[in-house]
Amino acid sequence: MKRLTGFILALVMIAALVSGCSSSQPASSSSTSSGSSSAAASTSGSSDEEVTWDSNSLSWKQDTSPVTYSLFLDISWAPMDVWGTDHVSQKVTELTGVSFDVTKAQDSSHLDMLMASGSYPDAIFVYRNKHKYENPNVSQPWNELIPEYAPEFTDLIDPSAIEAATKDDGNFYTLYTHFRDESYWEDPDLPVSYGEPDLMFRDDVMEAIGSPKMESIDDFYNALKLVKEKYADYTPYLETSLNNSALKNWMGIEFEYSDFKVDENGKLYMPLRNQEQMKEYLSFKNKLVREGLMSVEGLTYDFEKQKQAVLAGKVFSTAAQIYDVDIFNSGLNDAGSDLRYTALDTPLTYDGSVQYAPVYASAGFAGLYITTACKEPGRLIRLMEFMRSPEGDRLTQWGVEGADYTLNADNLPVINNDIEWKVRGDNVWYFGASFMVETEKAMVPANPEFSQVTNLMYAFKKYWSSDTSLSKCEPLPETEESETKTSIQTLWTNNCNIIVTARDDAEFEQRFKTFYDDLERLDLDGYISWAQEIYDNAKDK
Amino acid sequence: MERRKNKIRAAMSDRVLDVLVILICVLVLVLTFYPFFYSIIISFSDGQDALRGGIYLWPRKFSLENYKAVLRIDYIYNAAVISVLRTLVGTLVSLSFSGIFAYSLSHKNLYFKRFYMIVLIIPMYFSGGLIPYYMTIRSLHLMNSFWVYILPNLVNAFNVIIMISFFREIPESLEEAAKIDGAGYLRIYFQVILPISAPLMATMALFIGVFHWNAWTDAAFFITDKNLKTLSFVLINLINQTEAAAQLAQTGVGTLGVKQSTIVGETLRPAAMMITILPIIMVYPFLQKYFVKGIMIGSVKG
Amino acid sequence: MPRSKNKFLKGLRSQLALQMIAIAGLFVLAVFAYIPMSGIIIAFKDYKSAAGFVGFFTSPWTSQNGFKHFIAFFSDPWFGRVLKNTLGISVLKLLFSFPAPIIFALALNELRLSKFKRVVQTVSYLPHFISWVVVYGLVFTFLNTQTGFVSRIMVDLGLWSEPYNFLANESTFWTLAVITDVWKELGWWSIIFLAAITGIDPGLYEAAKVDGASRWRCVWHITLPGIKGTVVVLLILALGGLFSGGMGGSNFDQTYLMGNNVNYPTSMTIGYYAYQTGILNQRYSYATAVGLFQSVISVTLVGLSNWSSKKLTGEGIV
Repeated sequence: MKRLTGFILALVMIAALVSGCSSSQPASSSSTSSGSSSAAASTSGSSDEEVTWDSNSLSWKQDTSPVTYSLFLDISWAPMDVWGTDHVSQKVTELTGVSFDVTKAQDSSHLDMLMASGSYPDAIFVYRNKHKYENPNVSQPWNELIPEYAPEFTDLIDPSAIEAATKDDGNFYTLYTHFRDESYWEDPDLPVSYGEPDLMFRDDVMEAIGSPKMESIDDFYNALKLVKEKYADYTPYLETSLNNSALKNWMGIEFEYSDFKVDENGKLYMPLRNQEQMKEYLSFKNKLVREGLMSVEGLTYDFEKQKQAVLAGKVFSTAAQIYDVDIFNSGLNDAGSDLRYTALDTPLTYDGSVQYAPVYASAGFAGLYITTACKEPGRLIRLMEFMRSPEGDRLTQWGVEGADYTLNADNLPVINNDIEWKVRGDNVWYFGASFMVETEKAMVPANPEFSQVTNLMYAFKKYWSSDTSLSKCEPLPETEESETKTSIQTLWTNNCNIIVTARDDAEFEQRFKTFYDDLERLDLDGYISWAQEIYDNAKDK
Repeated sequence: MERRKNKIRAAMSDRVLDVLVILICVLVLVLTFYPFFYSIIISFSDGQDALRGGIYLWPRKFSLENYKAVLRIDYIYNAAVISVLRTLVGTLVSLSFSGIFAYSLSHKNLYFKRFYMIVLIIPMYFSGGLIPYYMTIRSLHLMNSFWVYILPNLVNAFNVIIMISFFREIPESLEEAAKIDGAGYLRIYFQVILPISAPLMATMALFIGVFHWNAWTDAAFFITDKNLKTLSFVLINLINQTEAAAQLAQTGVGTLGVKQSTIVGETLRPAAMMITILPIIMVYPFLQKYFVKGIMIGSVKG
Repeated sequence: MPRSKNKFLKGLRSQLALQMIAIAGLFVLAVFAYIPMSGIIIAFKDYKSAAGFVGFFTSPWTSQNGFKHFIAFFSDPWFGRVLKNTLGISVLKLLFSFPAPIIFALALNELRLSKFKRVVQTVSYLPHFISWVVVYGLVFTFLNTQTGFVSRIMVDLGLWSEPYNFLANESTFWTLAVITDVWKELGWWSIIFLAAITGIDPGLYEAAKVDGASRWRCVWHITLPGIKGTVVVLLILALGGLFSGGMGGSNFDQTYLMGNNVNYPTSMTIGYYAYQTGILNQRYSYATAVGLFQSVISVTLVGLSNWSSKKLTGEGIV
């Protein structure tokens, strides 16, 4: 009952925001100044009225004359590499006058190469190694730009977002996209990301083996055994290297989101180092492999191959994101089959209780930085004001209303799938994106008859907690700690499946031991104490 | 009697040789033709259907979409022209420059030859990485210039070494004779060496030409002007984007509601490949006749 | 010794044209190869890309006399494995990928059906243009356990009880790598050998025929020795490529595409490992150090093979 009211409340809030926004469709009505684009004088007219996202006195609305900046877009998967050929960028230019000269990342070191050779663009939009750009040598701090060019912007931003982006020097150089603050995580009626790891099972096979209860890891194992007996040429369990967190997380081991966890005494530790727990987990998977219950080849699949295996009809259960169960079911439906998968809506228990306790330790996804090479940052910071507004947020994540999406009865966007992504341009220029707006897109499934993702997003929320202090324990790139971090990652990636595919107990022991010998040779204690110090400082603030 | 026995033995072993040779050639033909044939079928296949696998001899669901997607690329025709231009100019310039360079180094009596050879070979194995190279190109003002395709490739050590080894096989008497007639080194190169080096030049033209036709990393990093991008880059770009869009669900941050496109990387790539290979196949016979003995009408050696 | 100096100067003057050409070529190399090569210096430094290009020269030298990155690489737990895989695969490739185009070129040369010869030769080089990604797609289509042709046939015919796992398997990678390499490059490399064969004096064959020699003997005693120079040069270059992938190519693509974290113990090569631990993790100094290590070994190999080739056959590159 409480959940339902919470859901309705959320929808009402969204509806209010949306209707509030759509009533102030901007024309180029408020463009006053002609030539001077970045003049500092942008104080709002009547400073008595409270400033909201719809005010006509917003700085970005004061000057919408054309201006162009250079941009490095570190989103290598974007379907276009120019500004102005898709609906979103065209609309942004129409509303704000800003255009970009875009360089798109060719590979992971492209940006480094550009910066190392001293050729900074005016703006960069990155999601990896953000901290590298968060110093005055590279970027201009927003706490200096905003008062000068868009003073009312500060009032419109959530202070926790500013706090999350503030560095030790007291400046903040961007506002992260997709940021969720502590209050978000404390509210059990808000959804988790559609990327939540989960297990899903084929309905018809489940029925055929007697619909056994599926509550614990043991139940899972027993079900796999039954399937193997009954269906000799099926793959009981398919796990790929991309979607391999569910089992691990549910057995109580979680290190995807941060290398560290905090115990009751506030001391940091690394879950990966808990050899006892890890051995239980790895030997369980090894057992699955040795008894033919998990496909070895499947361990190397990417998502496309996983999907193909699922569509081919011989996979009983698989690990994937909650959004994927809809993708699989749509694919099966499109292929004319009525086989369906159902994803679990609670994690499996282990050792008698739910061990799943993930901690959100991220400060957001991406950030737009205004570099020191930008001579006239005024229009750019004002563009960010637009981007952070609900109007800009929706535009850059959903597209142009009417052309790219329409709102349904719940005021959620129904994306027009007849237009190519390249033409829509959503989720490319989303410099000020928020999590909720993105998630709302996921809540409107293509096939509502069998969509499960929305319910699942709410179902898993209660297990999550957050720790923003932990999010500060992210090493700067090219430091000793980042080397340790990447070494750990590489070791784990290269070794995890080798251990799991060991052919007998002796080999398992030997590979397990080798991995941990190599791991402990890294300076893990130093890494932990480095993080502990940062954590304690952040907690004290 | 002996002679006849020898001749019979020779004739029999000749027959064995013939059979063996034919076997080898047929084996190679089948093994190298099938994958190419497979690529053609896949390129004419519907993307989503092809992903299910199991296509071996003909397209299960025929589709021209892959080729259409390629032809729909914004500046593809412009890129094609640039590629052709780059290949022609690049091959001609490289071949001339490298050729005469190799000719010089092929002289046994060249002073400092050993030193020159070492200087030539070292860069084949030592490289400072992309960043200093990027800086160099920038300082030479070659960024966004057509010449960034041509100038850095004037000398390719591997090709030069091959050419040197071929030139060394040419009997010195030819050069001596020309020198006696009063010709300078340059004239000797153009009037004596080149005419008899047709097989070598054809081979090198092929190698260098193919390199230029397929090269795309220079266009990726050093050229931002759309009008100067090459065809190879444009195609790779399309493939990368298509595959990235398909993998989006996995990044946990990508766009939702992406329509399952019928164009996937798996089928798009062979289509792009075919478009790239076609000109090479068309030009190839003209070069082939120079280096496969017995194909050329009228021998040139002598 | 004025007289020999005079002789030297006179000799130099007579080859002036040649010297100028040589210097012009080396100048191009100096600009596009040697100047960027200065970047190798970061292998000995603690370089951070934030320092920009200037940082190449101003970054501090690493500990352990500048060799910190090298020592880190040598003491990396995967060093031995990576080295073994690289050398093992390269040597195998040398054993198979090197003779194969020669044998094929010889065979093609002996073929007397001119039309067929033309067709075979034209088709044989096509795989060279098929990108490794498509090659892997083909390999996957045939060998995967779910829908692969090989697996299906063997199971249908009752020869196997279940599909054999080709792709996520330590024992198959080396074989797959060598087979795909031979197949892909056979026709392309044969072109050079064919061109070399055209350079052999036809008079030698005529003389041999008069003596009643069989065609076998012609191949063995005329054709093969006739292309010796080319073979030696290519062999030396191939030996130099032992550490990067044999036959002048690199095995990076193969590890990148056909390698996965189930078969990494046999598929991880130096090139890919440097990429994974160096470039992807933005450890540029480290990646450069590993690259430098490969370069030094390769050049040494080239030098050694050149020297021994000159001793054995009198021919070499330098």
